[in-house]
Amino acid sequence: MKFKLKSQLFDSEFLKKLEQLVITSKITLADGASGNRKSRAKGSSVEFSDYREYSIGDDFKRIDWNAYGRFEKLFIKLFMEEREAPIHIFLDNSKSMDWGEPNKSIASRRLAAALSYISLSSYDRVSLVCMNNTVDKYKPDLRGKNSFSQILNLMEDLEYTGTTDIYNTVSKFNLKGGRGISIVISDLFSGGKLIDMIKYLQFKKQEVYICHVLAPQEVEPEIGMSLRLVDSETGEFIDVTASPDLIKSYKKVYKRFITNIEEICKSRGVNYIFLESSLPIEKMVGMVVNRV
Amino acid sequence: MTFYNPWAFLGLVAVPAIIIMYLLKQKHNDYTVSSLFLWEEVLKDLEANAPWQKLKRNLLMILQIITALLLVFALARPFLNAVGSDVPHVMVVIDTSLSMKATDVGGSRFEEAKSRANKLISNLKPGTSVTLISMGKNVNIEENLSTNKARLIDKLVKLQVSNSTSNTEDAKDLISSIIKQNPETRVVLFGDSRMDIPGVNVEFSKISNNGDNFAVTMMSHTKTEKGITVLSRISNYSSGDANVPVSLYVDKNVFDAKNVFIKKGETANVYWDGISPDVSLIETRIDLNDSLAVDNSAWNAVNNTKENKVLLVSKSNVFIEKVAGLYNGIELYKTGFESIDEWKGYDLYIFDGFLPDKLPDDGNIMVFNPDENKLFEVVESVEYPAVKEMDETIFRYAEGFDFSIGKTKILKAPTWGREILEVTDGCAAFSGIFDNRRVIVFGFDIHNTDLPLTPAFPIIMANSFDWLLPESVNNAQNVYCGEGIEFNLGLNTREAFVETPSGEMLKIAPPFPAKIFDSTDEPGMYTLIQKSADDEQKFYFTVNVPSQSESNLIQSETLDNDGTNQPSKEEGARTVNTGMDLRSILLWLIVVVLLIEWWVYTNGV
Repeated sequence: MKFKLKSQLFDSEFLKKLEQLVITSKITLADGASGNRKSRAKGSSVEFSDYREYSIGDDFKRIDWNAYGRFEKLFIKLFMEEREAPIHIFLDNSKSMDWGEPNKSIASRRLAAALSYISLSSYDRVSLVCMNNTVDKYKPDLRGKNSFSQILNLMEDLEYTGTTDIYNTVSKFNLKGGRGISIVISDLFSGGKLIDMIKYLQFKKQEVYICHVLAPQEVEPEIGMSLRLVDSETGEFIDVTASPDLIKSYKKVYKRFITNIEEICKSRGVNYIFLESSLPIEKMVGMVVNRV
Repeated sequence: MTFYNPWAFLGLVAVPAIIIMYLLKQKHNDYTVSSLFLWEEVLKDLEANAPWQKLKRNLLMILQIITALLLVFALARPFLNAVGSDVPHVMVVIDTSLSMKATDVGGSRFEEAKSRANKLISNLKPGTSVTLISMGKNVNIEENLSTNKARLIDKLVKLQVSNSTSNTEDAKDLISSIIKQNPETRVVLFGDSRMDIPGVNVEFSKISNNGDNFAVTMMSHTKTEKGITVLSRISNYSSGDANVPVSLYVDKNVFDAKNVFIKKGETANVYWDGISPDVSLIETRIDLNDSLAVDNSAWNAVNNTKENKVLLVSKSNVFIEKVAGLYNGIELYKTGFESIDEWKGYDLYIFDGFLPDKLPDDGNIMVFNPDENKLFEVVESVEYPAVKEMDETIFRYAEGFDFSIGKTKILKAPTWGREILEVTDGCAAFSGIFDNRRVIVFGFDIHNTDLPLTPAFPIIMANSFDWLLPESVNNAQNVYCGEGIEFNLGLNTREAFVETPSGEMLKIAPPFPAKIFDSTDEPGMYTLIQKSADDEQKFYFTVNVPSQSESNLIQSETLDNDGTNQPSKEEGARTVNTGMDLRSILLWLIVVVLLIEWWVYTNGV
């Protein structure tokens, strides 16, 4: 796999890891995500799409014996309906995501890239939507690994601006392609209502995954003096004097924030994955694909 | 409320200054966060949980403003006026008598009195003049019309309580005369007994808790053949009957101890026998803790009375011989007129019908029926004069002047003498001190009167001997603390000292005659030491506390005419109305606020 690398965001080591992730994550992703989709494909027109090597567990019936005769290798015929799970990845690129140490933007982009790559590798159709308070960038219907470079390019050039309004923006997004998977990657510091977004996505027959990415400093704030806290998105500020009470109160509010999201997700049967930006990418991906 | 330095309110500009400084100072370091999404919630949460959070954030500033305000108020000298305290002059009278040593109130009544007076003076309106009077044996103006509180309080603190009674009469006179000069005067008495002065409203700050007390109210001794017998009178001034342990100490060693049952308010006599006549100091002591410790002891000094040598120069006078023989302590010698060379070494010379041209070098003189002489003038001789009754010391205890004189010489009292017996034609007797010796001259011959036939004769003679043969210390057994003592120093004495119970040596002479000795505030045994050229004589005397008048702590509070304790009319007036100088309170508040500020600052609240 060779891609042109613009920056260190997606270095060669990251790409190597992606390959490994594909191997370890593929089956799970295929089994888990495609099970439903296969039953939907029965009886409908079967359009040939691609071959892939046989691997243990594949249906013998689908082995292309002609190809075997020619290459002496077992290949499986892939058909459109089987492999194309339409996956929408909604990546929050508001300014608030460009914060933290390690930076949430890096962690979230890597996660988005990794999930895209794994999906593309599984012959799923990936749509990447970068959004803040509007849809900023949109790469629809990418197929095959070759499309991954587009994703990389988009990620490399992605700018973090605007305010977080991912709930409203997703709710207004014209989601096409029927049943599928929607993965939202955001810090969820968003106006609007999470429940509205979930309802909308579920209405669009999406299986929803919410990847909640926060920086360690947002989990455990490190302030020890009188500060003017400036909002990275709006430039608004509030003055605080660091005190045990303040930190205690922050933790209380933070816990309420997380619990609230968890409860909404649970009540709607949404997969909620909390991810700290300090986690290694393989672990992040693991946490996501294990849910998928 | 009055502010005595309203200019200080200009300092209020400090308040906006502090606020401005805070506004300028409050530059928070910018810290960019991803979003204020959670932080806004945090602030809402904090403010919802504690509505004063906003205040809390500015707590230091608020504390500093409070400090500044308190400081400005303190500098403005605020004074809370009390009703009736607005007078230009306050007279503070402190009772310094013995009963103020009682410990039934606080540390002692006296300390409490000083503390209350201190409070009164401290809280007086600035500019009020104060006269501080101590009322003990002597009534002293410690500070007159002073507006200097520090000085007044210094004087007040240095006041000492005495062991004597308080001279209320002198105090009343003094207060009355001051009031005449300053009619707008408020008089406040801090003590344990009220003082009523006609026409003067004396505010009484009563300092008494009716403490239980026992006292040795009297002690005396007599020498008998069996030794010394001591009488101690022990009084129970407590609120109940009591068994009182009493000890007798002889020369500072325990001689005997008894338990005496005394009913409430009564006095018991305790006798002690068989004490050796050689002792010099006897002490009665009550071994009990009570409210007033100093009256639990009384002392008596035992002096070996020397015999006075008396020379009677007479042809024959059986009456004088007999009466002198009755008088204790007289060793009588007789001689004729001619033996002038023998007139030496006697304490008293009695010249009967004769007075030599040259008086003996020593001793006092008593003369009957003198001839013409150089010492005084004999005017004439009269018969059957009428005797005028005179109130003289030598006639005390002699009831009436029921005697007649057949013949007497009329004398002219010299400048150093004073008439003591007057008859129709002039002076029949005089007394005086001439050349440092005591002289009594009677113009008549005893034989020409019926005086020897009257019961008054031995009394008059004894009185005369008392005066002519004085003890070194007058009334030595009955000296109370604070009282003055007159010493009768011997003619040969060159130097005289008094050693106090604490061992201090006080020189009392020369110059002669010795002044009245009044350093008697310390109870116990004193020693008069007279030094002559070749001799040193010691005379012991004791000074006791005036327990009879001071030991009844309940009585000293207030007594009705029938002697029963009555609730004081001033019961409700224990606290004397004072204004209040708020400065000290404000300064304390400043300290408290500064401490809070320091705590807030260090704890980062």
